[in-house]
Order: sequence, then structure tokens, then C-alpha cells
Amino acid sequence: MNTLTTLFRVLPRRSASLNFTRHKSNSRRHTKLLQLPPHPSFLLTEASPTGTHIIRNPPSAAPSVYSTPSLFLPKDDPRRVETEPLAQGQSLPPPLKTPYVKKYHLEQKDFDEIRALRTGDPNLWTRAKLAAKFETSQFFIGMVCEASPERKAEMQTRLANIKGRWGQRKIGARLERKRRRAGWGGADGL
Amino acid sequence: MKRMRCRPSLCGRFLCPGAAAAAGPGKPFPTPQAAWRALSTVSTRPNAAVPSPPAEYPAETVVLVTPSRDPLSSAKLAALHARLSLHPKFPVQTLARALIDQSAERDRFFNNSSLAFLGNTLLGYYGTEHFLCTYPRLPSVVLQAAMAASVGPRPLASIGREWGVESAFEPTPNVDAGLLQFKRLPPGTVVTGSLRPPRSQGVTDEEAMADFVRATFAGVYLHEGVAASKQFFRQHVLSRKLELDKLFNFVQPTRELSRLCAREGFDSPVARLLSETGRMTNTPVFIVGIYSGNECLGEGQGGSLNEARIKAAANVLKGWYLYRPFDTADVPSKTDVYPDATFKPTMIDSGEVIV
Repeated sequence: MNTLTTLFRVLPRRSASLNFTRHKSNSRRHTKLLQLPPHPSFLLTEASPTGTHIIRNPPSAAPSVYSTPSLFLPKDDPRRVETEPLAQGQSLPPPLKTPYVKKYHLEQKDFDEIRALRTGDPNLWTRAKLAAKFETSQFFIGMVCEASPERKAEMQTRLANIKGRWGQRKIGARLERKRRRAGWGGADGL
Repeated sequence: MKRMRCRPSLCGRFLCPGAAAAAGPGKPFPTPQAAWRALSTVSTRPNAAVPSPPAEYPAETVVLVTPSRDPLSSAKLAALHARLSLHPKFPVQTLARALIDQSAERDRFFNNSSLAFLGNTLLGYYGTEHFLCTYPRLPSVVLQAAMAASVGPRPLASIGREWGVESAFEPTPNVDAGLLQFKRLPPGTVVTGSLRPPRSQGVTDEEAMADFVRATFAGVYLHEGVAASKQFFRQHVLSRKLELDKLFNFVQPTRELSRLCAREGFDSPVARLLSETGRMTNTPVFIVGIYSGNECLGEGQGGSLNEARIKAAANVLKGWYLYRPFDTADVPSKTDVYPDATFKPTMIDSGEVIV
């Protein structure tokens, strides 16, 4: 980051004209502008070791998957280090989703009620509504009771009708998105 | 060119009736058995009697044969032998036999089928023990892919081409002994699945070349010993770069990671946003780290929060599966070379995660 700010500072704000030619009047200034100061890690300070030492300043890069995290090392591995608790005032980066603890609060009568509601009026009692009512996830509602075959067939027909109205651009875009999504797990795509 | 008798199955279309007439009755021919044997190579069973040619091949057929048909006078074979730095104990005749595919020569004592079988077994053994001992947590599907990518037909054919071996256009008896001899399939033949034609009808270039490389490995094992074959494997197979981390494909990485953490008793994984840029633009970049407790297990970057999170989970799983033991693990074949050596078995853990 420091190198970058230095770069922004020393490089000319406005690019030279397209027909750039070096003259005696400007060559010295341009040569001197390219002389960047060394990165701070290369500068010797009071804290630097006195003897010969190695300066390690690797460029920033994504971490390698070949370096196993300490938690994943077996108990008898000498490379394993126990993680220390967070220091005072130190905090972890913000989570993407608020972490939650599973409640396990539903009982057999709740399961029966979920099944009764969904089979009774599937149009009203959708997975989302049941999940909101019983304070659980839609995935769990799907595990408790499946939609009836008629309901599934009806929804499939409805979806097919909607897809039938899509144009080539939308179909292509969705296919492309699906292909990209398949690459997130490591493969090259579909 | 010298005149020799040979099997008509190999050289039927190259018969030269004029040469037969010119030879005349007074000129001494080598015995049929010796001529037949010279066309192939020396059998690896020196004490066994040379099998006589089958009755369907008349011994009196005459064909023009190049001097380089003889393995000992082929410059290509000598050059290949020197290029591979093979030991003088490895006879050039075995190398010549390794170059004869079973589609070119039906007799198993003169083609490379038995050598290729042994070589394939050796390559499979050395390859499997290398991957299993170096990466003991590798999932079986990835292990299979790694084996196919290092000792499968395609990499082996590539090794053969890099050795500088060229193929003969047709497996006629007058080709140089230093060329790969096999019968080519007609263009457009389906070579996969049940439609694949039998071996006697021909093989692909790749298969023939792979079999040659396998047979060469077997030759090194037979003539030079176990230690030399392991060294040959290290030099020619393990020296090739294989990006193991590119062989993974997780369908549901986040779910698999949750199962892994629950199975191993770690804190459940939490995705945390490490840094981001350009959230309000059409090309944002997010970097997400997966944490278990206070420890960051891996990072992923992507154009959306979901992409970064899923890629991070896949990277964490790769970090788990690509674990390498601290000290270089002993491979079981170590005791083949040094019978008195102490052997430290590799780690065996509870296996891959099933979701």
C-alpha cells in the first residue's frame, strides 16, 4: 500500500502528450521521477536486527491451498500451533450472515400441524409462510413434509409457462450464470 | 538392403518377386527360424527354444529388409538408449521389443504386450503409493484423476513423444527397429466404449506409444532392478508438474465444510468479509475468509459475496484434503530396495466427507 501511495505521489498527474519526445529540458526530470524510494520494509530502523538478516517482503497474493491451516493438522504434527484468544480490543472481521444457534424447539405436535396445514391449503401455507410461523428454515419445512404430487405438478406447469415466455437473451444469460456458478466449486464449468 | 525371409503377414504387400528370382538357388539363406527371429528381437527367454513359425507362414518368402531392422545396427535405437541414460545391462534388443505393439506382431514372445502389462502394474503401484503417502487425505475420485493424469495413457504417450520416439507409417518388416511399430486404425473409428475394435485390428497412436513407455519401465525393472526402476519413475513421471488442486470439483462446498467441521469437532465455520472494493460498481471484488473460532481457515475472492464465500469454502476443503505429513512419508516400496530399512507407515484418517 505504501509503494502505491508513493507511486501516486511521484508520478505526473496528467499523462504527457501523445507525441512524447525527450528533450534536454525534460529528460532529467523524467529520469528522476522514476527513482522510487525503497519500500519501508527495506529501510533500517532502530528495531531492525544488527547482523545480516533476510528481508521478506512478498507481493500480496491469494494464500496457497497447499499450506494447511493449523486447525487441520493432526494432533501430533509439530507444525501445529494452538490459536490464541483475541486480545483486548481486537475483533474478527464482520460475518456475512449473523451467526445463529439451532434452537431445536419444535415437537411432534408442531410437525403434525405443519403437515396438516401444508396438505390442507398448499396455496396459502407455502414453505416461506410455514417457516415464518414456526421460526425455522424453509429447508427444514421441506424436510418435515413434502408437497403433494399434484401440487408439485401444478407448480412445474406454472414454471414451464413462465419459462416459455423467456426470450433468447434471458435463456442465454441464465445458462451463462449457471455455468459460472458451476465453476465456483473448482471445476471449469459445465 | 539384404535379403531375408520373413513372415508374409507382416510384409505381404512388400514382397519382391524379382528379388526372389535374383537370389538364385545357390545363394545360402539363413535358416527360416533364425530369419524369423531376427525380424523380431531376441526373446527374453534365452534358454527357451525359439518357437518355430506357425505352419501358415511359408518359410520361403523373400523380402527386402533394411540393415537397421537388426536392433544392434539401428542408429535410432542406440540413440534412444543413450538419450534415456539406460544402463548397459538394459539390452537394446529389449528396447526394440518394447517398440513392437501387439497389433503389429501377434506372437506374444516378440511383441511388447507382456512387458507393457508388467510396466502398467509397476506404474500403478508406484503412482498410487506416491499419492497416498504424500497426500493421505486425498478423496478417491481425485486420487483416480491424479493417477490418470500422471500414469494414464495420455501422459505416458506424451512421455514417449518427449523421448523422441517416432512411429512407423506401417508395421512392415523393413522399417527401422527404432520406430514404434503398430497397426493404425482407419480414420473415424470409434475407440471408446463397447464399439472399440479388438486390438488385432489396430490401435491408436496414443495407446501404442503408452504401451511402449510401459514396456520400457518394465525393461528397466527387469534388467536394472527395483532401485533403478524407482529412480526412472521419479525422473520421468514424478518430475512432471501436476496441479492437484485443479482436480477438485465440489458441488456443495459450504455444506461439505459444515459436515467436516461437525465430524471433526471444530467450531462451525463462519464466513467473514475480509475486504471489498467497488460494491456499488458493476465489477466489485470481495474477499471472504472462512473462520472456525478465531482461526482463519482459508480465503476466497469473487465478484459477489456468494461467489467469494463459496470459493472460500472450496479452498478450505482443498486445504483439508491436500494435507501433507510433516516428514516425508515412507513409501511401502522402500523395503523392496532396502529390506532392512525401518518403515514408518503413513497416516490414515477417517476419510472423505460425505454429504
